[in-house]
Amino acid sequence: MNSDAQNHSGCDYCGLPLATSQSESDGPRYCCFGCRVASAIANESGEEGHNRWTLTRLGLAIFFTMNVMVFTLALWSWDVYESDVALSSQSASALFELFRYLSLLLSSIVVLMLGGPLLENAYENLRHRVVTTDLLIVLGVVAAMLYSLVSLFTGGAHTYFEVACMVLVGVTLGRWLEATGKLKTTNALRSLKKLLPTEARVVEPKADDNFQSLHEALVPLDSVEIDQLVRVLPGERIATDGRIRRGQAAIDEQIVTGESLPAIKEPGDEVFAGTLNLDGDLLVTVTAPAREGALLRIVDAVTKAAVAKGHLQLAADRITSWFVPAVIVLSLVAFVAHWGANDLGSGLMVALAILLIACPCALGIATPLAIWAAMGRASEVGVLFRHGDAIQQLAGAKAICFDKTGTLTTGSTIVDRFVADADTSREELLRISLALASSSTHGLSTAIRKYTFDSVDRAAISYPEHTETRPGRGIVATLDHSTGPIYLGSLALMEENGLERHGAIREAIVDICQDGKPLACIGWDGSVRGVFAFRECLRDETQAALDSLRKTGYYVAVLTGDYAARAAALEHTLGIDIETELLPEEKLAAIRQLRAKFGAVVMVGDGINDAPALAKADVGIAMGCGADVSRDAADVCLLGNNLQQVGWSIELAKRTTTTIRQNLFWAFAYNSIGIVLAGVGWLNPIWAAVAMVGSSLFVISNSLRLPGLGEFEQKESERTERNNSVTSVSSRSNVRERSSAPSTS
Amino acid sequence: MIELPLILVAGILGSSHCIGMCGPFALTIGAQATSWKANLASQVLYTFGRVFTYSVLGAVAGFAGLYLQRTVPALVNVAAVLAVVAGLFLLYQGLLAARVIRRKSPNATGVPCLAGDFFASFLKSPDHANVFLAGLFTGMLPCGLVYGFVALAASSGDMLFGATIMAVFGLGTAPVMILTGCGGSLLSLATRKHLFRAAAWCVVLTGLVSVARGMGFVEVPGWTVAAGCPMCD
Repeated sequence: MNSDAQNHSGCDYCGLPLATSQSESDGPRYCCFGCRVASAIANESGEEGHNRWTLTRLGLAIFFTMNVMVFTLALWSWDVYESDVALSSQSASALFELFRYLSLLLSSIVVLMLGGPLLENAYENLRHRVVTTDLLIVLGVVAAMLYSLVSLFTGGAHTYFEVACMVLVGVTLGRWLEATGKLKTTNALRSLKKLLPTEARVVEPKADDNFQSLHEALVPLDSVEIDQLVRVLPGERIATDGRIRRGQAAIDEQIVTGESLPAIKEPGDEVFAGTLNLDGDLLVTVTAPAREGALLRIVDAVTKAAVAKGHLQLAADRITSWFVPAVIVLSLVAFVAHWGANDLGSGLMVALAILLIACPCALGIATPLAIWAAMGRASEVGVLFRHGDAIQQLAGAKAICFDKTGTLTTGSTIVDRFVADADTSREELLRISLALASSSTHGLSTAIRKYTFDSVDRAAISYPEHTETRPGRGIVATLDHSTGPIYLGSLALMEENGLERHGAIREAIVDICQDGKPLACIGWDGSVRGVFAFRECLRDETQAALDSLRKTGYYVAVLTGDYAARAAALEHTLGIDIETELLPEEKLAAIRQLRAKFGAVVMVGDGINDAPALAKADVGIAMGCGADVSRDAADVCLLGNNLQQVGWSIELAKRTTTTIRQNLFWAFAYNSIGIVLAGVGWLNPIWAAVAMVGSSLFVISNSLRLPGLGEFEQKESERTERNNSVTSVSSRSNVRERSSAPSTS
Repeated sequence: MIELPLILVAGILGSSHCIGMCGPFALTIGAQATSWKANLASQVLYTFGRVFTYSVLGAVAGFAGLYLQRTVPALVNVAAVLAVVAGLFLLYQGLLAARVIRRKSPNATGVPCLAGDFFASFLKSPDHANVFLAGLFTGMLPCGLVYGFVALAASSGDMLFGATIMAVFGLGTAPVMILTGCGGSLLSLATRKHLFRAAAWCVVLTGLVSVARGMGFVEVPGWTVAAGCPMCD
């Protein structure tokens, strides 16, 4: 999976998609000249003792260029303003000549230092049949040098040494900054990847001694195989997906599931690559190759998403593809025209200025940089965009539909109310209900346990001697020999065992059935003594999330297959339209109607039973994806279950689209105005080089501002619980994580 | 020519301001050195790089001043206007440093500095060329004090004199910066605070002088023509 993604993914330095699909695997591939230079610098700084020639070369070139500029300015100031004073004396005239020769010397050094790598890159691109302006820029620089040289020796008036220097420095520095900017947009993903340990502690148990004596060895992660046993110490990150064989631990799975509370895991439980073992000594059976672990699946999903080009990107690509040849032709035409009209020198300068100002660097990175920055930021908070177009569509959405169960609600039920028989003590009923419910893991039993746990005196509970679970009905138990069987369960269970309903109980049951709510009864000795009514549990943040969406002007609707009676209460609580009793195909029809009325529709669901609706909507958002990021129907995966992420994602999408528009507008305006100015001959190549750096910097910094979008609100419960519980465990684990790799034993 | 000594003093005293901004760079370079001699050599080389950049900035500013003077001479005395502008700028910077006026806290947009990586890689590598280049790029860091003097250099309207102004300013900052790089802080915090105050007022004084001299020469068409440049008499 990962190697597949690597084939897709682009530049070896910044990770951005390559402009062309280069199939040959001949060494590293870079998307631009800047990445080539930056990568050379990074490699050199990685190896200790090697001289860092590439960077020093760039630095020295800047130093020499500064000298050349000062000499040139001095020449100009005499030439233009003080020629009458300066050239009158012999010594001033000698100084004038000296400055010209010094300019030649220093600029030759600059051309040799910076021209080489640029030429090499142009050649590489040519070999891959990609036409870039780099080649022509180098040729222009060389031509300017040659022209100046001839002019110097034949006593000509104009030299362009400073132009050659500034152009090379401008191009190199600009591209280098661009590469650094691109690298920064992928920082978030890289830091996710870095969380994975590079080695795993593989354990080989001696035969049948129940893990008493273990032979451990640290093995590179790539060579860990399925079914091997791996030991994970407290404070370490789990390196591969696996199943716990021995030990138990609290595991921080936030990075994979978005759940900020640590999960308690025991033998037989699944663990995910990249999650943090907080406090247990675990033996884990590897269930997936290291390259296919949960964390890398997330990284891959985002990488693939970035490679898939959105329609804005495709449009920009189409324009760039004819733009470059057009610019080359234009500059050649201008060269000939200005040569004819004036002289060779000014022809050269105009052509060079056109090439520099029209260089479509800003145009090329306008969209991908913004998308990458947004996706990187989103992946940090557990929102994964499956493709770039999802961002653009999300930004344009007008209506948002939610699934109910598992999306607005947690999917679990809670006790809504409890009605007790007048003849029996409420306290006693609750105590007996708790005693019976404790023996079952059924959802309704859990709800009863939660409801009764704090309201009864637990010391007084006598647990049943004998319990029997009747599937689909409930529980039958005997507390001691003196009493008969006690029944906790459905109405059917009560009827089958001849338990009758009287007075308040009968009224309550009729009432609850009318509301369409689930119920459970408890009874003994021929009559039902109490009845529990249940309701679905809304998420903590549901109300706030929906309110803020509506306040922002979105039409919010709920599409559910549930009974109208059940949804009515929810409709009242949330104050929104709920369309009930929808069959899956009716959900699709509802989405179609909304689209006709409002435009692009977003569907938010849990991605399991509402997959068709997610696929049908313009943007499908699946919640609680956790480690299962490859759910196909959804365009956006929320790792966690926080509904606030929906609004946050839309806000991010809007900002990203605005940024892309600004970038594209700027790039187009800059290029078209620049070309006109350069073509007329009003733009010195030096200013063109400076403007090129400035334009790229604008696009880069505009895109890098995106990650500044703040966090969405954490769930209230998570925040407090996390503060209480995690500080104690994580302070210990952080220390462990920082310490050096554990030694083999 | 009272500016040059004043500029030197502003540089010397102003370097207590430099310790805050650029001191860490000097210390980083010092940290790489193996002996105090090697460190001193590095510090001198680093300072030389800085002064070089300042001089180039001064020369370029001088040229820009000259260019402006020759391009728009008919309307006003450009040199005088530049001197006034530079003086006001210095005044503003000085008052800011003296905390007489306060600026709104810089708006942190959260945009990571792209040049940071570039700069840091020179600082961290020990060989001489890189130490010099680190100094060279330190000189290009945005700094209100430097801009003030660059404006003054522009008002000179002369490349050589512009370069000299900036070189003198740069050399003025050298002693304290070299000491910082070599031995950490020789001056106590309280002393540095006093120095900082004094420096600020020195900058204010430089600004006032510049404004005063500029005002004397501001030339409005129809007024009597004042001869010469305010800097060269």
